[in-house]
Amino acid sequence: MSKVAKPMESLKTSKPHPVTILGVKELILPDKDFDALLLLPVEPIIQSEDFLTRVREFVKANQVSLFTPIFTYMNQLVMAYVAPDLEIIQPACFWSDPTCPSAELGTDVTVFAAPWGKTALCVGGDVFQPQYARTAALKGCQIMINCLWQDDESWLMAGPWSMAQGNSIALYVSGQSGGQWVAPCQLTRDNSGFGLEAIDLEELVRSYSLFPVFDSLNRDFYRQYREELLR
Amino acid sequence: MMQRIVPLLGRRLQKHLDDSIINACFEQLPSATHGDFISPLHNKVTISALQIELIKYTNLTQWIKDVDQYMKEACVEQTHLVCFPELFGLSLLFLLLPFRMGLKLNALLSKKKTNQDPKKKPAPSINVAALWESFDFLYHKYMYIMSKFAQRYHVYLSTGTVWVLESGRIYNRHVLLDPLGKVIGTQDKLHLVKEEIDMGFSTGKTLTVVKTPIGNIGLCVCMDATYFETFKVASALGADYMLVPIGNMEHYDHYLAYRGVQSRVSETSLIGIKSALVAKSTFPLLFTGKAGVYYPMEYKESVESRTYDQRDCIRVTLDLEDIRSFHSNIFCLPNKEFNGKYLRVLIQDT
Repeated sequence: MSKVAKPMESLKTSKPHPVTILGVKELILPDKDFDALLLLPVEPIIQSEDFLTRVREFVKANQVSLFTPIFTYMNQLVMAYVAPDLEIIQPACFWSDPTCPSAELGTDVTVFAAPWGKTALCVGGDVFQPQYARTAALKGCQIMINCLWQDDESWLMAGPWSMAQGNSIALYVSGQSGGQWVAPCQLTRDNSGFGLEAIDLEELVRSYSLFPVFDSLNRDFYRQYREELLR
Repeated sequence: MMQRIVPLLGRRLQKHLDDSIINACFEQLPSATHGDFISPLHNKVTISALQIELIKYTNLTQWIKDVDQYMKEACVEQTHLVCFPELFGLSLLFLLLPFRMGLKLNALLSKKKTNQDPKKKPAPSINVAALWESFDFLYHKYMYIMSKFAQRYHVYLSTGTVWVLESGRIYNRHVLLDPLGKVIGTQDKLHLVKEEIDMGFSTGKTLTVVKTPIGNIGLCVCMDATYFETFKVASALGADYMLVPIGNMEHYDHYLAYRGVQSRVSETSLIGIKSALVAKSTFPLLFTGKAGVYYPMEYKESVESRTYDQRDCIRVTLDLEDIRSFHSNIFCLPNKEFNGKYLRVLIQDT
């Protein structure tokens, strides 16, 4: 078996305290501590032309970091991370919606350095494509922000929960019922992966040894079946 | 000392597993009432996934009688395929008294280990590959016995796994037999757990999908179901369903157990058949798990055993035509350009 990199080990976080993402229903500054705000979705897809402009203005005025729900932007379905010094726009790469049939797909997942650690965005049903989270994790992603309108338990288990377990990453999922963390089982006392209020990234790195998924990747096997994995 | 004792034990076990003794054990079984293998009607295939409870077998007659009982339960009505769990072939080792005594010792040591200082370095793992030479016959003997069961019950039989040496390397191998007892497919475990890596095991490099009258059967082993790549390759090679024998040496936890097959089948639209090796809490080795049949979440609800430490058998009938016509609306969405980038990152192709 070839020597494999352990993405979790290569990550250094500049913030020692647990990462708190605060879900808000409107662009109003809450009276609570947080590392980033997340605008909760009130509809599956925002199709307002000035949405991103309003987000930028809010971020600039309040000097905060903010994750958006899904909106249409330059003929794509996207999510954005907007901070005073950084803006990331992530298009959906697999998932499309019947209300936007002509939306173009993206071709890669961007992993960026947020103040707390390496982060990626995941638009809607891209969370059900296992190669999406795998690619992000292999690029060093620790935290993934996913907006999933349909967020009942069976969907959460099949998508975000499964991605968290298979890649040792934590996902913050926002949907109709609000926002919540979905973490690797070993990070929660009851092994459910649910119920955390914040993610301690040092704990995430430490707990990797309890289920070191990347240590067992069999790259010789994957090389043999490039064509099959490309489909 | 180990180097002197192990060959001795190997020779002793070989005597217990002489073909004439095996044949005599089969002759003691009541005559089988099963007719010839009947091809599936209207593409409907009946499969039994066994949940086998590990016990300390003291003689081969007892071992064969017990397996025959499992087969009888599995084949209570027309059955096409019976699946055994991971590592079941190794239960033949218990025929040796020193192994049974070793189990007791292991249980005592495990208790002691839990009281140890966690910072203390763990004892180095034994390199099984170097020692297994004396037991390499076990693979062939296990196949000899299981092929007799396949013939006796006229079914396809997934043997679960047993260790095998090949060119000095040791593999955890899953074997599929046809109703004539012939080997029609083998699969070496592709993704090893840390303990197996430490023990000197090697990984398989290819994935086997066997085309049979009861469907295209993909083979894998336990931890392979943690990686969606295994199921994705099997699906691309035309598999209808995957056989996943497991032998989990950890306390049962619903969430930890959920990390494997259920997610994989939803992601790839395959069906997963899981057979499990289990043991009661009083047994000196810890094995837990649930046999079950797992369907993609959009297809239908999965079925699995209600217990994780007792014998059981999960029987289902699969409709091959229905399986083949099922397509997910959520998973398996295409994007060749993205997949190309994923693949380059995955195989570290710069």
